[in-house]
Amino acid sequence: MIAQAVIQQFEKVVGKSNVLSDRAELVVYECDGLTFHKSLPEAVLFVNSADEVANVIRIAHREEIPFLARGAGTGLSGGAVALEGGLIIEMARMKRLIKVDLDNRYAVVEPGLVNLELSKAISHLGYYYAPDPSSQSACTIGGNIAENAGGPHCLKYGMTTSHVLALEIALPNGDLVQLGAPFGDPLGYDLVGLFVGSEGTFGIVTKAWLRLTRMPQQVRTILAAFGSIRAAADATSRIIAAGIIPAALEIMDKVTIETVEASVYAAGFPIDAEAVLITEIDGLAAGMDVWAERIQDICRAAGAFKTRLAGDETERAQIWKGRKGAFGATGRLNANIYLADAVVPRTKLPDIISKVCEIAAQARIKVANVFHAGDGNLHPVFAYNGQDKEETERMLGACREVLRICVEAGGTITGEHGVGFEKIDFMPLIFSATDLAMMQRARSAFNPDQRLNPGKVLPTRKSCGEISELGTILRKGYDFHPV
Amino acid sequence: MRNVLIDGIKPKSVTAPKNTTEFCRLLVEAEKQSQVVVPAGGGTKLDWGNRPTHIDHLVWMDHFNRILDYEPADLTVTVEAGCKLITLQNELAKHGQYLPFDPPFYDECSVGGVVACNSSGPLRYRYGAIRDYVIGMRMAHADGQISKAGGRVVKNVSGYDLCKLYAGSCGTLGVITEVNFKVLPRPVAEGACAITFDSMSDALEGIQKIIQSPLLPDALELMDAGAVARLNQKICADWLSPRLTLLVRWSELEEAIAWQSKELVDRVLPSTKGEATILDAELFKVLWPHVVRFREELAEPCKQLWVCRTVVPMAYIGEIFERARELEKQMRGVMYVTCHAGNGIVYWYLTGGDVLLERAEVFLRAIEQLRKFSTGFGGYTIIESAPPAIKQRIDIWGSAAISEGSQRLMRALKDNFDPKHIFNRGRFVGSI
Ligand SMILES: Cc1cc2nc3c(=O)[nH]c(=O)nc-3n(C[C@H](O)[C@H](O)[C@H](O)COP(=O)(O)OP(=O)(O)OC[C@H]3O[C@@H](n4cnc5c(N)ncnc54)[C@H](O)[C@@H]3O)c2cc1C
Repeated sequence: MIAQAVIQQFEKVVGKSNVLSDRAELVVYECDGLTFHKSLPEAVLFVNSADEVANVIRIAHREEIPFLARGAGTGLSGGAVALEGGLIIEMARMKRLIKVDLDNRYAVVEPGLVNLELSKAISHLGYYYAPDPSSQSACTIGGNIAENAGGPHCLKYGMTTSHVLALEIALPNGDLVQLGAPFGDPLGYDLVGLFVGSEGTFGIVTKAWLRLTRMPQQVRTILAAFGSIRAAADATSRIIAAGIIPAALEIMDKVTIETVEASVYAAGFPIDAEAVLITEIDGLAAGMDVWAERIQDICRAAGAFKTRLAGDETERAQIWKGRKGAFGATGRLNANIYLADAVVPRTKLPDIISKVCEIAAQARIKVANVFHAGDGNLHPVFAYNGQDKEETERMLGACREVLRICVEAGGTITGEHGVGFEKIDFMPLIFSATDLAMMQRARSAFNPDQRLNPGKVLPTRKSCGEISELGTILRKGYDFHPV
Repeated sequence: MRNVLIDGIKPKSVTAPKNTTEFCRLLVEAEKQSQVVVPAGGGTKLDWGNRPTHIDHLVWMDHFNRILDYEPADLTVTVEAGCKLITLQNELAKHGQYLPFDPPFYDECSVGGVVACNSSGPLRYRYGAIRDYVIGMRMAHADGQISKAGGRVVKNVSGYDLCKLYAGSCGTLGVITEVNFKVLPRPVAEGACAITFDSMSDALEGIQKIIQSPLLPDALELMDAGAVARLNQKICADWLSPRLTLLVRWSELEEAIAWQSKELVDRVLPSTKGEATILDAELFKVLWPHVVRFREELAEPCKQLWVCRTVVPMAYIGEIFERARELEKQMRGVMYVTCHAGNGIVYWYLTGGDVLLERAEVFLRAIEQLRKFSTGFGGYTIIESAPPAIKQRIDIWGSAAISEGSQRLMRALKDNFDPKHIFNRGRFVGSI
């Protein structure tokens, strides 16, 4: 427990009304978007400025209290869960858009700003912020930076890391440090690049310089309906092979289409299709129709029985509303859903998706497949009843099996959602003890006492041994049952 | 095996390990004795960094030169660090693909060297730096361990992104032995347009207009009159008028290139004071390679070639050009200035005979003043190439431009990865 005297010190920094330490109030903060790992913080502090963050951290550092930052809590790997109790520093109120510099094409924002709010605030200038996670209407820039968030359009525009130019962070000892500059190349080590994706374990972002992207002159969105998910996946490979890098290439399977169409996100997706492929291209108007035509030809050649070009902006917006709402819509499949995240080389997708369906069928768990096909990032959504322990375990077993086959196919265990502590046990599947030791070296440079967001990303030494055993078992393809 | 002087220092031993085992043995031994190791790829940028005090081992990556795994359909490739960038590009070209970088020393540099120095050329305006294309790496560490970072897939957030740390670390954290890249399909067509301006302020205005327009250039390369004259010389013609010139390059479908050229001339430029010439396909083909190779071609005939890179927000580019001009007069050499205008990266090349050395004081003072001028807004000036007599008198990085806190983090990283500082000791920022 944090001593009352220390709580009072925090209150002095942020104000009494900005400190929660009542058990009842803390329950909201016991988990993030990954609901089956829960742990209560001892206090939650709402901060309003970088100085407050720094001062709070200094106290925590001195009192040896573990702490972590939380944005919107939409993370899906347990990143914002206070595993060892301690403090949660809630960043949501630091949400100012500080500056827009169009001459140098960047914006300066506070970390609590919601992703979509940034794009909305600058759209009248003809610019937007490119990374577009499906959760963009809720998640914060700070959370995005921590997780190196992606989204459908990252296929062409890159993940968050390609859009963060410089940062101001509070280190775990309370020092405020500026990393990088909003122009040119980094001088010295690329600390910004290293920081992005560090899952809240290197420091707390208090300010960010973000690259702004000019809105494309034209956008074309093509919907293609297929008789099989394999054919849709095959079409994506052919599009890439034709030398086209679309802005987005997304696939949704029949289960997803049906749930979306029965929900408020209904977008007119063909319910007679086994899979739809959404291809979006953007850029200059000149030549755009050539590409659009070519993509439709490729889809038809790959077996699409219907292709449709979105007629106008409304139709296009509708399609994306459907796609981005897919995860939410699948909520109706069962009491609980679990959104998995893994990546394979894109040519392996057709095989992997078939296997995912087999694995789910074997585990008797309903699965909806919706994924970023262009970069091989699959997101099977497993529907289960969390009250049913046995079913939950079957579901988890299926997830692990999916990760295993993805790694076996040359892929990786997370493409967007991060390791958090959800996937810590799987790190040895893809990284050797030496690889992990190097990551630890990087972390200790920032967070030597491991007081910031402990228990995330890297397996502890102790569990490492046990886990590498597990890793060996998994690697051998041993039929692994959840514990 | 090539032995070379690095800033006038002769390495005590020169090796080219045949495989990782041999390599790691060397590293373990070196670390035990706290020796200084300088990894070398193409050997084009060995003089980057502060002047070394001594070098125990110069280690060439010549035997690590294979393309290991290329999956055109996945748009990924794994290549050993010693492989020449050009060799890789040629292989990718067979499948209509490429890596969109055109760094200095394009024909000679190795993949490992380019990644280690995160060096880039004009294309970086549209396509970003090399670090954005590295999806995985294999590193040999000071203690002889080999580790991997990242993977072979284009999207990956499993663990910390150490590739970003290693890219641009100038061989001070370990030795890159392998790199996995994501690659791109080669654009169908390429083209460019040259716009001349009477003054820098006209040029900057023109550049802003282009950036704010719907045009999608690959590169915005601003060159002073002298640099343009050099290009003319190189192509043995005077197609370009030797004035302050912005080269705007694009690569798209033919329709899109045609449209952009027209849009530029009809709608973007009229509101500015620039005069545009569309380069025909043939001229583009002849000219552009010399734009990319500007630096190395300058090196050939010159006795002295001192190269500096100044990074500033775009609005200050003009100031840098002016200061360079001023310095040229004071040094009585010939100065060429080019600039990746969209990124605020200015290169200035001072050439001349050995008399330059007599004016070292002037040069050093100018650098100092330039640094003072630019640190206020986060800019910096690096001396990329200069004779040892200059380098031993100045921190070539201008490390003072880095915040205290960042410097501390960098030192901590160096200490954690290379506790005895065997890799390129003292040559990087903050003398790490
Ligand atoms: C419906 C849904 C759809 C989603 N779709 C996508 C998607 O398409 N792509 C994708 O990448 N992700 C997606 N996510 C995951 C999630 O939205 C992202 O990971 C997001 O970046 C998290 O942001 P957040 O503000 O909610 O962060 P939180 O969940 O609050 O925190 C996440 C991590 O960031 C750290 N953190 C938060 N703020 C800071 C800060 N200021 N400084 C340092 N660290 C900080 C926390 O400590 C924690 O480790 C989705 C989630 C949901 C629920």
